[in-house]
Formats: sequence, structure tokens, C-alpha cells
Amino acid sequence: MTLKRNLTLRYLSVLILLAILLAIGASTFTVYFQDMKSDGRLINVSGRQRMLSQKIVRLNFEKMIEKNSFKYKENKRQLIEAIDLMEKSHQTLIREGEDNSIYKNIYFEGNPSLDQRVTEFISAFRSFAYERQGVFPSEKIEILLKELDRAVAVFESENKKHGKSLVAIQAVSFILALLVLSFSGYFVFRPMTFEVVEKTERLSMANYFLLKERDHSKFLSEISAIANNARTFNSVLNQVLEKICKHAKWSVGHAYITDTADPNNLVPTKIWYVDHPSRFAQFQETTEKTTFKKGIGLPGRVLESSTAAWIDDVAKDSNFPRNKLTTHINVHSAFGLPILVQGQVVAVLEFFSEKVIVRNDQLLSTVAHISHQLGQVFEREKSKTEIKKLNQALENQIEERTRVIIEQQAKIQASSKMSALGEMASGIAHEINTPLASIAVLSSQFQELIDDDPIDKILLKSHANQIELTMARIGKIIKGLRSFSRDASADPFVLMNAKELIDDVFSLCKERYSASGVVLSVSMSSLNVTFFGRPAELAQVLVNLLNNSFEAISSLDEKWIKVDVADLGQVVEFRITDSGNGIPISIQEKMFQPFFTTKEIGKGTGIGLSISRNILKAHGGELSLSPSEKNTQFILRILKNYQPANNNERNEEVA
Amino acid sequence: MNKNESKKKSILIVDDDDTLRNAIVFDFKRRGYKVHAAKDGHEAFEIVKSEVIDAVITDIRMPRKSGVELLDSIKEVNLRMPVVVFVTGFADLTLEDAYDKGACAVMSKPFERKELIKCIERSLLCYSQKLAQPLEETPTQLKIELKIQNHDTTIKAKLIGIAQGGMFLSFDETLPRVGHSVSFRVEHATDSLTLLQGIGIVRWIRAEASNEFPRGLGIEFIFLDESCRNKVIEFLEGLQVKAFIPKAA
Repeated sequence: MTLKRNLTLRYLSVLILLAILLAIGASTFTVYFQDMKSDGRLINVSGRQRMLSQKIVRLNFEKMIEKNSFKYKENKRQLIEAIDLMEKSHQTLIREGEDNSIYKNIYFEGNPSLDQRVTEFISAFRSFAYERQGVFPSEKIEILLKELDRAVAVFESENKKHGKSLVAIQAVSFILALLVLSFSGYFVFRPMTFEVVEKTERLSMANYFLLKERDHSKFLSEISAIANNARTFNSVLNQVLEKICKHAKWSVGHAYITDTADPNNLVPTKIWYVDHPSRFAQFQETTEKTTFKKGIGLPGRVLESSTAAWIDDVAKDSNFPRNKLTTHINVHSAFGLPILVQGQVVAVLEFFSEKVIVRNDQLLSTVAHISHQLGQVFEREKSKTEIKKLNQALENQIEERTRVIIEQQAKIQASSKMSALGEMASGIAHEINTPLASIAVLSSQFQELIDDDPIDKILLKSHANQIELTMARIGKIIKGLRSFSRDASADPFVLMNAKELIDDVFSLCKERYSASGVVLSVSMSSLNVTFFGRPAELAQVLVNLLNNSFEAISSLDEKWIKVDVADLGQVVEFRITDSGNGIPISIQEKMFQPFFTTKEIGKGTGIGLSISRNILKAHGGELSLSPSEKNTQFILRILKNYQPANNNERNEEVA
Repeated sequence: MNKNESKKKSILIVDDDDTLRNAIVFDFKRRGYKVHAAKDGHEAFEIVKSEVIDAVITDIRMPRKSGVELLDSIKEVNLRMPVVVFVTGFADLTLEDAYDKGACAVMSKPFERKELIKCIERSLLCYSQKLAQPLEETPTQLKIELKIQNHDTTIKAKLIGIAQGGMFLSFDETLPRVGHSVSFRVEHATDSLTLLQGIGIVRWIRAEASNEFPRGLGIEFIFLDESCRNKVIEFLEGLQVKAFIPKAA
């Protein structure tokens, strides 16, 4: 700072000195040029007077010899004009140059003076100009010219003297300026140069540190990138070991991790960075077999202190067990670095150099950053694993729940079949038990009648006949029951007859319906409508629909269910109409959804219609509610020649 | 019972199954009864109202009017008319309800024809004929002795209930099975009956007490001990209940 001010002062004083010297030089120039200017005028006037005087002489001569009076007069006028001009110019020179001593002196010095000579010349020639006679004053011109030349000569000599002194002043000031400059060079520029050099040095130092800093942060950011991008903690360790080794130019990097069972124990990993694997094979082998308790060896020391540790030379270190375990350890300097999670050491990184290197605190402080960063990775991975575990648990739960739901669905489906069966069971039992009772009674009577004497053969035959017919009735009912005895969804498609289907179904329902006063009727466009399908499944659909109708109308006054079968060419159509008043629009769409029911809790499963619809789909058909019918009417349409591509189709749909 | 006697009796047979109905009609006609037949409860009740009917055999499940409805209607017009009902083994009507509603017998289809005939013959007998013959065959499978020391009617009312053809007994011990025969002896069954002793057949059991009814069993009287018979018959004849065996006390 002081130097800078000094330099500034010095610099300013040099500038002032130079300015003064320049001012001196410039002033001498000014004087010189002023003189030059006045001298020029003098010479100019003298020259003009010389020229005018000569012109006057010439005009006098011409006037003298001129015969022509007109030309003579003209000559005379010009002559007088020239004389006037000379006089006027002389007067002007004398008057205006009052302050100019140089030519005043020249003009007025001497006796007679130049001024007198000029005046004499003018008067002489003026008188001669007016008079034609007289002697031409030729001596006057000669004298004047001589005088004028003399004046100019005098002036020039004077001027030379004056000019010499000015040049001297200029030379002195020039030398002075040079002296000032050289002094300033010493006192100002030399220190300034020194300062510049010093500053340059400082800058290059700073630059060096900046570059180092950049390397350092680049290193750390690379570590960060590794930490952030790596998939697993192990891969992070792998990359970080390599990075640190390459950054510090160390040969070996290895990781120990804390024993999950015992936090005071460190177990070796197989995570290494080794620049020349062959050279450290024995050391690696030993290391991978060695665990460390707290405080033992390099890793143990790091575990104990939770901070980095440095060994200048492991060969001379008393607490380096691996030294004794291996003959060709090939490493000297070592440092260890903890990886900390919430203050707990979860792993220790150790690095080895083949050289002996004194403790490098800068390196240790750099890698200390890493220790924390890797801790975060470890934590992150731990939480990731936990999230994964949780996810797995959730997935398992979902899977389990799904399985349970599927199971329940299957149970519900089965139970819906069972409940439909249950609903019909008593009707069926009655339906079967009644003919059984008939058979029992008839056969009992038959035994009695056969003992009669005489035997009434006609009566016996009638009894036997009735028994046979009744048994056929039972057989039919049993056949109708088959639809509910098992899962029919994998049954083959067979050619079936609409009438037989209706008969089978009616045999299951008729008795119960008539018991409740429901009139069941069927009308068929043709008695021989045939189509392909699974009889048991279609019977299930029809029974389901009939039962729905039955339940819906059982409390009405007017109770009837009508089945119409129509042959529509490619399609066979069943219309099931009951005396009900249709289904409210609000539930028409929903009623085909699984588990939708309007029945009270425990009465219906709500899957009858959805199962029925799926069965119809599996028959290339459809189940719909008639929109136009006043009463409730379901329409089943079945493609007559439909063959399913996959027999398990419906199973999948239901599942 | 000979044919002349039975000729006087008329039986109504109600079933919507033609084969069975005709077969039963055949049997009773052959035995000399006056037989009426109907296809449903409605038709049957018209006959009951217009004809003299001594006994009715009816199915439960029938169009228009069921057997249960028919039973109720008959009991409204004639408390004492014996009605045999058919059940199919499924819960159309529980046994205790059937007897409580006044059915004198419940036959499960398929039934034994001879049993039905016997049952009708028996139901047409008067008390003194019906209850005078002890069971010839097997000894009784259970002996029930009930001594009601206490004359408190409120307690009594919970223990025993007597109707036209049998009784309900509250019973805490191991219950016999339906169809088993029991010998019973009840002292002070009612204020007027100091002794009720005889043999009966278990018609139904209630193994679980409900809020309404205690655990117990329904017994049809088969035989009454001579010592109390007349008194009991007198008591039974005086009852104005439709039940054959009551559901509870």
C-alpha cells in the first residue's frame, strides 16, 4: 500500500517535472516563432520596397522615353501610383511595427537612416515623375538598394545570434527531460515492475490453488455421482475404492464391513481395488481371512475412533497384525476411513501404498467428506431394502387376499349353485318322494292283490304299469338334477333338443311352482328345435331365470311364468316371461354385475345373472332383458352351431 | 274292525299326484270306507264343508291351497277331525308344528302303506278303545317319572302340556329318539289330574331350548294305565284345543 502510494507520488512528480520541461521547451519555440514572424515581415517589406523602388525606376525610364502623350500620361499615373504605394507601405511598416524593436532599430539606426533613405527616394522620384526634365536620380536608387540589402543583412545576423541561444535552451531542457525520465525509470518504473512481478507470482499461485481446488471438487463430485447413481452399496464401495486410489495414486483399496451380529467386529469383504493384482495376491488372501475386533489393526483402530487413521509404514507399526500373517505384504503406507451412519461405523475403507508416505492431512480431510456421503448411501440402501421388504410383504398380502377372494368367489359360486339346489331340493325331494310313495303303495297293494282269489290280472297289470310309469318319472327328475350335480363348464358341446331341455328344467321346478300356485307353461314354435350346447349349463341358466321369476312373483295375485321357444334360423331363442311388472331401469344395468342382488341379506348371492350371462356368452349367445315387454321378460339367444374355441373359456371369464 | 263298521266312516284323500291319490283311494275303498278324493286343498275344503268326513289324508305341497292351509281350515270348523299329513322330509312343516296344528299323524313320503291304513284306523277310534291296549311288542325304551310335588301352577305350566292326543314334557336328561316308546308317570300333571301314567311314542324332540320353548319332547299317548285312564280320558275329552300334541306347556 505504502509502496503503491510512493510509486504514485513518484510517478506524479515525474509527470510534473516533464510538464515543466515541456513548458520551457515550448516557450522557447514560441519566442522563436514570434521572431520568425516579425523578421519575415521585415524581409517582406524590404523586398517589396526594393521591388517597388525598381518598378518606380523602370516606370521613370519608360516615361522618359515615351513620345506618345497618351501613353506617357498612363506611365506617369502608374509611376505616381507605385510611388504612393511604396510610401504607404513604408509608413505602415514604421507605424505598425512600433513594438518591434528589431526592425525599428534597423530602419532608424545610422545616419542617414534607412527611413531617411526611403523618404529621400520617394521624394526624389515623385518630383521626377511630375517633371519631364531634370536629371534622373539614378544614384538614389543605388543607395536605397544598398541600404535595403544592408538592413536585411543586419537583421539576419541579429537573428542568427538570437536563434542560437534558443537552441541552447532547448538542448538543455531536452537533456533535463532525459535525465528526469531515466531517474523516473529507476524510482518509478523499476519498483512498479517489481510489484507487477510480485503480483504475477501471487496470481499464478492462486491459479495453482484454484486448479487444485477444482481437482478436489471434481473428485468429490465424482464420488457424489458414484454415490448417487450406484445401484447397491457394494458397487458404490467398488467404485469409490478405485476413485480414491486413482486420485491419491495409491495401489490398494479394500472395504471391511461391520458384522451385523456384532457391531464390535469387522469382517472383510471381497470388494477391492488393486492396481497390480499379482503383486498383492498374498496380502489380499490374508486380508479376506482376517476379521478385526475394535482397536485391532488399521480397521479396528478406525472402528474404535470413528475417524480416519494413518500409518506411515505398516512394516514398522506394532498394531498391524496382517504384517505378521504374510511374508510378501508389499505395502507400506496405509490409511483407513470410516463410513458412518448416524455416528456408527458401518464399514471401514482401507488404502495401501507401496511407498512410504508421511501423513497427508489434506488427503485425509478430502476423503473424510466421502465417509459421510457413503454413509448416506448405506442408509439409503438400507431403507431401500426395507421398502423392498415392505413391498414384498404387501405383495404377499395382496396375493394372499386375492387368493382368498378367488377362493371366496369360488365358494360363493358353488354356494349359489348349492342355494339354487337347496331352493329346489325340497321341491325335488317331494317330486321324487311322491312317486316313490306311489311305487311303495302300488307294490304293497300288488303283493296283497296277488293273494286274492281269483287274481284280477287286469288290476295287477295296471298296478305294474303304473309302477313302471312312476319309476320313469323319477328317472326323468334325476336326469334333470344332473345340471346341479357338478361343474358343467368343461362339458363337451352336444346336439341338444329345446323340448328336452325345457322338460328337464320343468321337472325340477314344476312341482314347487304349482305348490305355490305359479302356473308354468311353455309354447314352442316347433317341437324339434336342435342346437349345440352344454345341456347342464343351459339347464342351470333356465332354472336360475325361472327361480328368479318365481321369487319375484310369488307374492303377486297373478302368478304365471311362460317360456316361449322360437327357431330363428341360425339362432334359437328362449323368452322367459313372468307376471311381474318388469325391472326398474335403475337396476337393469347393474343386475348383470356379479354380486348385485335385490334380495335380502342371506337370500341371494347376486351372481346368478352374471353367471348365466357368461354361460350364454360361452354358447355364442346373449342374455338380455326385453325392453319392450310389459311384463318381465328375459331373452336368451343361442347360436345353434356355435363351437367354443376353448372349452375353458367361461372359467377364465368367471375367474 | 270289520268292513261293516268301517263303511260308516268316510275318508277324504287329498293329493295333487294322481297316481298316489288313486292308489290310496283304491286301498281305502277296498277296505270298505267311503272315500272322497281331491286334487288340492281348496277342492278338499269344499268337500269337508259339504260332506260328512271322518278323517282326512292330505299332502302338504299342493297348488292353490296347501295341506297346511287345509289343516288350519279344517281345525277351524272341526277341532276333533283327525287329519294325517304327508311331509317329504324337508322343512315344509316341522313335526312339532304339524302336531301343534292338530295333525294326528305325520307321514313322511315315501311312507308304508300299511302304517297309513293302521294310522287311519286308529285315529278313527274313540279314546277308550284307542288307549286301552298296551304295546304288545317291545318293552318301552325310556321310563319317565315326573313328580310334581309343588302345587305351584306357574312351575307346572312350564313342565307339561297336554293336548288331544299327547303331551309335551320339559326334559333335561338325554332325549330319546323320535319313534321310541316311553313309559311315563306324572304326578299332579294338572290340578285335576293327580296321576298320568301310561305308554307313549316320541313324536318329536326339541334338543335345544329356544327363547320361546324349553327343551323337551312330544309324546303321543298310546296306552293309559287303567288306574288313571278314565280320568285322563275325561280330561282329554274336555279339552278345547286344536293341537294333537302341544309345542309347549
